[in-house]
Amino acid sequence: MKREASLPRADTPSKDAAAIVLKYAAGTLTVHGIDAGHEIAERFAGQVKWDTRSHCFRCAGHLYALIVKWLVRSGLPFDDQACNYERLALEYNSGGRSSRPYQREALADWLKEGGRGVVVLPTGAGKSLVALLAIADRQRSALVVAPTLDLVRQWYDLLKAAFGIEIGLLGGGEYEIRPITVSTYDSAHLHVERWGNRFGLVVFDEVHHLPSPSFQLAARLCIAPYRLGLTATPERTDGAESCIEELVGPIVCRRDIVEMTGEFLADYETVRLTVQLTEAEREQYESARQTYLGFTRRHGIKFNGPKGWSDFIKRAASSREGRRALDAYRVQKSIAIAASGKMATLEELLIKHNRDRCLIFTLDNRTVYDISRRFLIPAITHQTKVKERSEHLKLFAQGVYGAVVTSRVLNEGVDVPEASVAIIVSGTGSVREHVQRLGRILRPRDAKQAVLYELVTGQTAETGTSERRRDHLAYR
Amino acid sequence: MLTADLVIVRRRKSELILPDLRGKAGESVQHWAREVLDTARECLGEPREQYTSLVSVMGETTQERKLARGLAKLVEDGCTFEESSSDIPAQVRSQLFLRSTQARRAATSDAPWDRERVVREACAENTWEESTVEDLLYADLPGAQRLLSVPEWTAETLADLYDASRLQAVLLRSVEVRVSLTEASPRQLRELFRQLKFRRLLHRSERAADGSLCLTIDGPYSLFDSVTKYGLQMALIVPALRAVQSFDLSADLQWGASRARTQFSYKYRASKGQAAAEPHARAAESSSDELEQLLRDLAPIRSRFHVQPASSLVDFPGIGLCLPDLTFTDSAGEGRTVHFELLGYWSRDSVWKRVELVEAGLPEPILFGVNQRLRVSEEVLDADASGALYVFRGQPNAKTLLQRIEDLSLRPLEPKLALKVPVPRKTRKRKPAAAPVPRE
Repeated sequence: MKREASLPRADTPSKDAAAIVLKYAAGTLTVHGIDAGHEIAERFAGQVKWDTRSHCFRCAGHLYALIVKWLVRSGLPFDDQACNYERLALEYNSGGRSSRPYQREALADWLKEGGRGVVVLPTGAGKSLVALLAIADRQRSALVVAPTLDLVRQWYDLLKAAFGIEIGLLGGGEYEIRPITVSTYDSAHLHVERWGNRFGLVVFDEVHHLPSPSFQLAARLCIAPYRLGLTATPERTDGAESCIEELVGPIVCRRDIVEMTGEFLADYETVRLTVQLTEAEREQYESARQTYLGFTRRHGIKFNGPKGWSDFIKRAASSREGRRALDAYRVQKSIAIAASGKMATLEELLIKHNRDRCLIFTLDNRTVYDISRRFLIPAITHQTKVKERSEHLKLFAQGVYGAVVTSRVLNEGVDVPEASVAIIVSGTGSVREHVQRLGRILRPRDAKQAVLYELVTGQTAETGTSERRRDHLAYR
Repeated sequence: MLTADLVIVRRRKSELILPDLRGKAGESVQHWAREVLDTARECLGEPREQYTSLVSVMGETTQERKLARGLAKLVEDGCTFEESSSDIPAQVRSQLFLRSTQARRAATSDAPWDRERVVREACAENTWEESTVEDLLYADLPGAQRLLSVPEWTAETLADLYDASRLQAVLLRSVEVRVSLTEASPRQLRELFRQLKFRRLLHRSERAADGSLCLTIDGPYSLFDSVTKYGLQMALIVPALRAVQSFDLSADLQWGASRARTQFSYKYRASKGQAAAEPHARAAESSSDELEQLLRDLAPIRSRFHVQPASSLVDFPGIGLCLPDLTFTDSAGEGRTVHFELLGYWSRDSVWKRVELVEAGLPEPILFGVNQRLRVSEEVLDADASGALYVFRGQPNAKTLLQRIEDLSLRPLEPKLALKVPVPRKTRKRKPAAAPVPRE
């Protein structure tokens, strides 16, 4: 197929002979028919390399669009045997769910960037609808990649309802590729070498997961010219989000919670409740804290540096004193995150909101089960069986249960629009986690007024953790 | 089985070394083996989490901690825990959570939510014992399962199992494994090859000039996918290797978080009576379900061919030693024998190698059973060749198989001896491949 358009298209076949041939080979794009001294080497220096074994140029699949564009602009005829995706004739059924102005603007901004880029919208604002609009607009074979099986199931239902066709599935024991397919990140990176040329559009849901070394492969080895990333929180603490721009595109549209609250998201307030340690807890806390801080001071370990924590672990493992310090660190942390005062406050909040739907979040599973036992509230952790988890969420949505306690498994993705109260018993210092937890209660529903409570143990390291995770517009 | 993170290793440049467990190191292993076994026995009747929390604090140095964790994992794998169904705990939870929600909604300042009352009323309504409800609530969590039995191992037995498991954990990360066997008896070799086939491991073998057998096994990291499943089979071959009593092993690994290419070598010389004492050297399974089923299906069919599991290794030129699965002997004629080999589904290459062999000519007829998933056509071999392919879908059909055996037994044999000139692959009549089929 000879290409003439500015972007590769699957519908412009030409039988003309061409000197240059593009092929897809196990995640890479090979360029045949030119010699090692060809100008392509200079134009794509460092990206396209001469492969002495195959006597052709070779590069990662994601450079396909760039190379095709360059060949077209350079007026070099070429035979595209790499592209194996289809032009579809999808009929989009909105199901009475009309798009909102900001969703249409997001699509327009993405198209303006050549169909590459990341849309940043708060949880509950309808990011998935932007993806449906993009698939309907581009009409190319599309792959949607999501981080969890729960999300894959949600996408499967959504796509099937929107386009009325059978949807392919990769992951969770399924392996079926169709013109529109949903995959987990795990399955996508494991199998991309086989079908990396069969999709013209890839949607990366919760795209902040993409920078992990293995997940990157899903984007790096496929040729899709159109790429859409969706997230509420693109920033990562390790700064690795820069690769998202390379593999998916720049942020094309960004809306934050504050500007959307009221009109498109539920109104909300955040309340920080400080509790105090009991005398016995304080004594134990201070003793443990002194042990571990003394060790870190003696060894010049600074936690504000990028390697502070790993330095501490490394030094702690190499001596008896270090291991005592590590144990002390764990003790003081567990006292702070599960102070008895938090349980008393939680009890009050559960009574106060006994007519609302409350999501209770903790840092660890032990606290989840402690709360579940103490207050007889359904728990959802990674150990909860799928059937029971679905049952809990169904009864919670119906209002049969008034609260659910969880650690991190409900942080992202799972749709619980009925929830209006979030109680953060404990958490990490991650801004993303905190914003995601807030997002769980913001999906608009019947003039809902949402409230997020954060329980913090005063005069402990938890106050600093709380400050760090609140470093976001949504909490100002 | 140990996982790679539980194995104590040393690195020397790009080489991985398993520390020698003789001398002081061996004493340390036995000491912690005793500690772990004693702890497990003390925890009999207690929840699993008690055992795990006790063993998690064992060891003073980093190495000791890792060693204790590894030994504890092996003991835990060998223990029996109460198998609590999740039905009753889930029912208890459901009732308590429902009742608790209702009680909380009905609570007032005068009559606050009362946990004890919720439990009491739920017990009364469902005729539960109040004393057992608290235990039942999350009895199905792994940590709550009660320890019922601890394997009756001595510290020495556990230490030996630990030694074998270290090798298993290393091989989980292998790309290619090469084993040199110098002193294996025919019976030991047969059992080893039977295990290689049963585990569906991709392997090649050849006789070295000194008469030793060189076995090359593709490791899990040589595959594109199914790494875990194949890796497990790879690890399970270790007991069969150790049963050979003596071998030298070298491997290419992808080790560590960065999956760096690493070399590994290992020598094994069994001490007297070691194999018999090995807790994992139980009667190994050696026949695949497919083959067992096939034998069951063949049994009631009347045929002039007598079928039995193959007992002798066949030295195929170009392929090395192979163990066919079944031998069919013609009871009516001159007692002619036809071999049958059921090929696994990991690799099409193994089929093509056998096709090349047949094309070169074989001294005895052989039928290769090939799963349709390998996308190979029966027509790749000529109708008068010394071997044939039987492509089946799902499970081989006994009647069809017998018919193919009979057809093959009638073919004249003109052995062309060894494969001097391999047949160029491009001349073969392969059916065009359909859509990609995932390996399993």
